[in-house]
Amino acid sequence: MTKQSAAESADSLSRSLKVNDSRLRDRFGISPDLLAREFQAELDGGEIMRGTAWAIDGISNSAPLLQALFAPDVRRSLICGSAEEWLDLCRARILPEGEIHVLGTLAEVCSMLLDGHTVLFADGSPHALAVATKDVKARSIEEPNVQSVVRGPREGFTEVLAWNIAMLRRKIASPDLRFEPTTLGTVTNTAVAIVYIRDIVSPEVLQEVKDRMATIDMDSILESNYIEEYIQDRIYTPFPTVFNSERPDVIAAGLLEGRVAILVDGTPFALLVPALFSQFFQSSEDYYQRADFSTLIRLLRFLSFLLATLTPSFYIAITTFHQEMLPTTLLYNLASQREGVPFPAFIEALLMEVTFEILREASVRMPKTIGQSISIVGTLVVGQAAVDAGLVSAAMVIVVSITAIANFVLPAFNMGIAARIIRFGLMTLAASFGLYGVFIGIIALVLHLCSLHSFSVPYMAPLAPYQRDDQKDTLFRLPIPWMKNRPISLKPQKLRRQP
Amino acid sequence: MNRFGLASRLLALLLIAALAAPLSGCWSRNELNGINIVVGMGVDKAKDDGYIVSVQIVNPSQVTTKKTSTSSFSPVVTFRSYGKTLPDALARLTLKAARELYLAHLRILVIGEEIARSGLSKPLDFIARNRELRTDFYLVVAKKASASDILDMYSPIDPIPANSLYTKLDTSDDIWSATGKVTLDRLIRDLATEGKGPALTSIELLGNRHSGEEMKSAQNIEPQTLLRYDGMAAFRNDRMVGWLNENDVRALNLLQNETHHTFLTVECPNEEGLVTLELNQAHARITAHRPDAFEVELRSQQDIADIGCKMDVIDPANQEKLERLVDAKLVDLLQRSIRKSQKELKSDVFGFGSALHRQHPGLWRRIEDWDSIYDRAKIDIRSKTTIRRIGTTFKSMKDESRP
Repeated sequence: MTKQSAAESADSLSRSLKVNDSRLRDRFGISPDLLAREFQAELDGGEIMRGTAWAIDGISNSAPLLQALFAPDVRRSLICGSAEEWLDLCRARILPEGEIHVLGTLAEVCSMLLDGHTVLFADGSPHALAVATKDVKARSIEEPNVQSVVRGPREGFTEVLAWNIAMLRRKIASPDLRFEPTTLGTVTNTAVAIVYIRDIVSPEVLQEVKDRMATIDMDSILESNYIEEYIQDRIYTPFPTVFNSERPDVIAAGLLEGRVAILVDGTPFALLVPALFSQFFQSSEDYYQRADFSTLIRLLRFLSFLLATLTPSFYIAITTFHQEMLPTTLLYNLASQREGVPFPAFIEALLMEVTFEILREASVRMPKTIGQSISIVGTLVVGQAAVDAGLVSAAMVIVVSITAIANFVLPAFNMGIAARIIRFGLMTLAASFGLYGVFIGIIALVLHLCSLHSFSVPYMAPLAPYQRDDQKDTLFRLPIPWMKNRPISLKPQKLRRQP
Repeated sequence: MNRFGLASRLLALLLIAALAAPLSGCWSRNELNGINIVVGMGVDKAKDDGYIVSVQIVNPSQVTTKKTSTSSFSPVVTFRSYGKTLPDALARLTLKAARELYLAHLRILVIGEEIARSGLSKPLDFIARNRELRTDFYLVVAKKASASDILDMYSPIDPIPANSLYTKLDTSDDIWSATGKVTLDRLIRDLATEGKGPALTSIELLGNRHSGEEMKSAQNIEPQTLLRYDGMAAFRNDRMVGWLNENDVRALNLLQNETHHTFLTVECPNEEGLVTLELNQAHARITAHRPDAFEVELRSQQDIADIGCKMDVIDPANQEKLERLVDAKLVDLLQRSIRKSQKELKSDVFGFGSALHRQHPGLWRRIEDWDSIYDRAKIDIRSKTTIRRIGTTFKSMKDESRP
């Protein structure tokens, strides 16, 4: 107790302005963005009180505050007996800004400054006043460019947590929408908010999220993936067990189904848990277009996933082990294309797949201005030239292209990554064991998928374990009036969506 | 510590898996450019007891559309080799062919007449036993030619002769139903069925044999040499006993309910001229009364395809007359063929015996020599034809045109 109070007193502010100023300056070093504006105020009897206004340039805008403070009539009305009183008067009467804190320690002063507040020191008072003058320089709200839709809201999350919270609040105007703020990262002090709807969310899942968030022990949280990797269920799996989105409508829909979202300051990507396998094949647009069309598109996505994972391995297996499975004319065709190709089909496929991955990675990282030339060179190298030079067969180019394009159909990028990783494993199996190997691989994959959980919900739900009612919105998307219940798999408190 | 343990165990597992993969040696792996695709196979009798096996192999680069025009290589190559048995001969073929023979895409198996006459069972064993061969290729018997002659012929339009033979038989069977198409599984089933002799499609060579072997023969507008399907070969057990002509095969197809579509020509009912009918549906039912007495009931539906005389087809009386004529024609067709099989071939290719077997298994068991009973079996044939459609004109063109 005494030790604590001793530490407190060492940290608490002094009555002397000089001491406070110099301690603060020491704490920050010579940072060019730390601004100090010294001022003087008149007290009773013409006594002059000195003070300092501290702020950090770029994240706070203290000019309106200071203007208000130094207006002649304000100065006159602030004349009082002591520094303490002066601060009180400021707080009570003058300052128009929303949030005002009275601070007693240097640590509080630091964290308030870093949060964009302006801190007023007055000589003779062991307290300081923190005024919210936060002024964030950030990207404005723009259309999300990763998860784009034809029809639907055009706004995406930004890097500013407060705006993101506001966007969610605007979508779900209910006092039951709860944000639980925390700060993570011992150095970065990143603001993080756990979001849920109080009377819908499954308490079990919410508790699980909180428990796992409590285990995070990191110096920095620069992106939501830092949190994702801490709270995900399993590390040794290519499949994502945490969903992410930069679309407020997607997150809002998830919350309304009883999921929990995690917003992180500094990134437009919010996390959503529990994440189920089928969720990664759903796009928010499924609900903005007609049900029949959405169902077809959804089935197309599942087909694309299969194509993206299986096409090269099936091609390798069938052309090198099971030629009898090909229609005769197709066999002549493929055989004539392979005439003179120096590599076995597996090496050929590997060559093309790796080339494509390189091209893709290059086009993502390239400066946008040069991107064009890469794609031209890429098309020529991968397509025409490789075939003309006789290094690969034309059919293989088709196989690799369809694989690549099918991969992009998936609305969730991280599920696409899983498909890419699995593809290479299956190709190896196909090359050594033929279709037998491919099917062993598929069986292993299904077993693995069924063993996964996301925040205590089975990953393959509602397919395995089977939930009849949830099928309305899994492979198919039934008309919205028919979907009377929330997904049972997510164990929401209130099952009925419609009264 | 624990996590590290798991990681290293996983790594070890991965390494073992990686090392195990090449151990498999990619068993039975064959790249597409490492195989010779056999599309046609011929089996002939050698001078001694052995066989001469010929295989038609596709040269894939000459088959695909973009290259054929500029190439001067033949799209197929035929190799032949002698062997004591079929697998022996096929193994010897590797002395001549560059790559491993791949049999799964066999389209047609040609059997020399001599082999057919001396018994199919011996050469067929390998064909039926081999795991690579599918059962969906057609078996044909070469008529008055050796099987390898048949496989040496170029075919017009389709660059692969074996393919051409396959589609030719398919199409002809669909439209004309005067050639039976017999696949391996069907032949094996027929051989195993009691009271039914198998029959195989027969093929003959028309025109100059030697000009057909050269590729430039494909440049003639009218082919100098042609391969034509012609009836079937009738077997008793596994030995060929004679030929079935076109009419016999039509009768066979009708009795086996394998006629999908064919044409019939009958005399006009009232005056001279011919009426052609298109048969769309036919169903024959064989009823066995006694071992030597059968009844065949044939129901068919026909459309009028062509009228070569003055006739009012709208008139129901005329239609009925026509139906009776067709019935008579069909009965005659069946009767003649059945008599031929009883007296000439002495082989029950139509399967009356198997009908008896199915319907009266007790009677069948007491029969020792079915062929001798079949010889004198009395077979009663009834036909019931219905004319369904008369086409898009009422009167015949002969009626319409002014004299």
